[in-house]
Amino acid sequence: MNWQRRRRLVAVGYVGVAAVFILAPLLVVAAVAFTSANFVSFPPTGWSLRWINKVLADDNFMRALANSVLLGFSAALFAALLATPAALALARGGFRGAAELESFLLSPLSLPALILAIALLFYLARLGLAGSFAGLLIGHAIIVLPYMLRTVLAVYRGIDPSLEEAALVLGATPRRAFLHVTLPLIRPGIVAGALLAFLVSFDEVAVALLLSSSSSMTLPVAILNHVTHNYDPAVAAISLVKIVLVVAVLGILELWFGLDRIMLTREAR
Amino acid sequence: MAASIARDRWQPSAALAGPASLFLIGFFVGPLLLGVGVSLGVRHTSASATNLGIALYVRILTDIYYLEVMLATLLLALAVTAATLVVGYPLALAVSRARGATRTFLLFLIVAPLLVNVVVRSFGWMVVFGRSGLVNAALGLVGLPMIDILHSWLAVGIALVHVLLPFMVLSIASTLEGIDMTYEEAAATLGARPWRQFLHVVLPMSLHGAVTGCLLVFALCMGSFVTVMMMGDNRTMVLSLLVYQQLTVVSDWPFAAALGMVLLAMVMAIFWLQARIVRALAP
Amino acid sequence: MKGALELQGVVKRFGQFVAVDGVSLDVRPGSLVALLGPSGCGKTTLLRCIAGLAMVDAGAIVIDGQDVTALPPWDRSLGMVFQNYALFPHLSVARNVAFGLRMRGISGAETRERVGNALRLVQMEEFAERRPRQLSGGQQQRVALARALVVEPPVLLLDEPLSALDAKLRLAMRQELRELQRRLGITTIVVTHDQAEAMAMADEVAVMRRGRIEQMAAPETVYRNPSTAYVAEFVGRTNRFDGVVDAKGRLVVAGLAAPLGLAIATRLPPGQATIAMVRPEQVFLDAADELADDENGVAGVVTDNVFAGDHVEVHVETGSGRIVAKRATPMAKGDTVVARWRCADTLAWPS
Repeated sequence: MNWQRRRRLVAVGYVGVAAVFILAPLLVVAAVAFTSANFVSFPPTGWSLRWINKVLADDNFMRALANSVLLGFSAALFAALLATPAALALARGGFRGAAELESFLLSPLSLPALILAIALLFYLARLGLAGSFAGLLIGHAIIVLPYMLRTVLAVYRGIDPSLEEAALVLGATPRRAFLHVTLPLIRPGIVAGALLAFLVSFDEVAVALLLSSSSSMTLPVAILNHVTHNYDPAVAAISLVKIVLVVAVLGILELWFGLDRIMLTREAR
Repeated sequence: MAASIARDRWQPSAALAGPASLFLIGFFVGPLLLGVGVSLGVRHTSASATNLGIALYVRILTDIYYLEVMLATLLLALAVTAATLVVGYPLALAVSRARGATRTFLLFLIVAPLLVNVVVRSFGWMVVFGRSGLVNAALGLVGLPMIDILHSWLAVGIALVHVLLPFMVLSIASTLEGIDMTYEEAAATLGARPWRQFLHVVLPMSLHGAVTGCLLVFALCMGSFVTVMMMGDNRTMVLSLLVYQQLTVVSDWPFAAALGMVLLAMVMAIFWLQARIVRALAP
Repeated sequence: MKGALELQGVVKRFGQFVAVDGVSLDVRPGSLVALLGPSGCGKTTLLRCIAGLAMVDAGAIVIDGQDVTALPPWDRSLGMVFQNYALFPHLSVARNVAFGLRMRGISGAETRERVGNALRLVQMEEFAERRPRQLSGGQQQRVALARALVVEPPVLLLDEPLSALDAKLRLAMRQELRELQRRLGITTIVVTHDQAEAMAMADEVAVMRRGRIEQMAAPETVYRNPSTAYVAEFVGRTNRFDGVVDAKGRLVVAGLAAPLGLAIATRLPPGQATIAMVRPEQVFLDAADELADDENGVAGVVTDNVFAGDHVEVHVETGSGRIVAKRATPMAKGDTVVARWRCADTLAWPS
């Protein structure tokens, strides 16, 4: 067996083991969701859809799911509106301090969400927004903005500047060049960034935990509440619903745009 | 007209970044400053305030309990970072080399858990490690006695590695993408076997990505409390969880804010360290 | 280590596409062979097969009597310079050059000495502590060369070594490379798409097309006696005539009043469809219309003069198309001339 074959085998072996580690909790949750018993155990003693039905009929869970979806879309939209022009300025602006501004706009990424959550809690409480949907939206927009910005920036930097310059020479004003040339080219990137932003918001716990009220609760918070009070398969069932949703969105992202273009964005210098 | 002469090509105005910047200043920087203020007792509004101002910080830094919690938090973060680095590097290598369907599968594998929510994943690990869970079921099959790993530092650590692995892998993989294969080929023709190619060429050139990954994982680990809350118990206390408890259970906002600022200070210190390391590494 | 390289029926496929189609060649120790051809002809793939970076699907690669076909690249001990030089950016020049020695467990004084010698060989000793990114293209190339040579390999492989340099530097480096190679007497394979470069540097040129070697011979042979029309057109400019051989062994070309006489050595049967060519420098233009027995002549009108520094290309429109001749001085446009050349200079092949 030549050295290329051997290297391939080692790689496959390692990835296999890693895959088991990565997927184990998820598969376990999926299995427990279908259990017929009243308690959580693995492997499940019997199979049934009762927990899934129960969860889909539960008002609390469904309302939290609706909140999460609405919040995700809103945060993504808001972030898109802020991030797209900013990306434009950062990628082509060439002004002094552009690199620092970029670091600043991306900084929420490096901050533990809990700290942001506390800070926002005090701040929004003062504004009377704590526990409201608007407060959650603001918090998630902050968290999601850097993801959106990074994606759109990467896409925009990948576009040849001479395309825009050609449009200008052909008679387009900067605004029209943007509308007719740039925007169509970066639109897939914006959509991908928005989908990514949605997923990040959908998944977010710390800010949601501190800024939710019982009416504006998001799904992760609802699940957490349920788990701390009753450790039963309902949690697995609702988790499965969430997993299916996320996998579906990821699938769309991959088909439309390609996962590697979003996830493996090279750091631009 | 002076402004337009200063630029030598048509460029969009910096003002386009205005809305985003203002938003961040208003709702990111502002709240953080306020947080510092609250911790120092500036016009707090909570019900049960213990002490105020600098006294809070003194209390945190002199009480042995809090120091132990800080140490435990630090050690946990270091251990998890090291584990994700060791486990994640080969995965990142595999992803960056793969093409086509394999690549998509690997990316999916790495990314999907990341976006399936920390609560769900922690719950999954609870089921895996719990008394009637996967591990014990497997042990039972082989005839070994049951173990209770749940509620231990080990379980918390493993779950955190699982949660944070994607960040490490993506960070390293992004850097690896930028490394031209010809460097490894050149090393090969000079006599380096694959392992040595990695050690002498790929590793040094991807160190930047590894450092970024380590910092990201470290920061995220310091701030994660949901996993610890779900998988651990009172023995496994970390700083972020303490903050959360002070805020929601005890409702001591100033103290929670003070603890939060200490946490933030620890994270900032590590970032400062990173900047120094990166500067030292840069050729 | 003599440096005898032999390829026996090497085949390399990428899926359905056959990049190298059964190539055999024998390289004399100490000689420089250029693999010449357009992009996609398989020359770089062939080089990578020799280096071990691509595993062959069939055939054998033998170096100094040892079959290395199954060996991975790090066990073949060859020297290779990549098109982009591939100098390790995180190492200094000296450490780059020392890399191969380090892999072989050589260190200390011996390494220092050998690295010093290698750098002196390429005149880069002063740059020993610099980083690759501080060097110009030409300097990087020299360091890459030193790095490949320091381990004293039996065979040196160069992948388009001059393509990244600008025109003047290219000419200078071409000469330097050749002299260095001769001085060291090391067997060298150079991949290039530039025919002038190949002709100037090589002891033997292998013209490749679609994974096969069309002709391998000394540069002068390849230029004056190309074995196919493809080779003739690739290694220099030509004037081409397509036609059919008549009963007397001459070429009948559409649009020409008289058939062309071919070289005596060309034995093509009557009725054979043929491609004939003559090089511009062998074509003379004048007004006279008396032809000697061993000459071909085609009448035409001068349409253009292209100035090329040390000569002028004169374009003549004839009944069968355009003929280009190389002259020292231009001719007046619109003049009627006769393009003449010796029959013996006419190259011809069956088409």
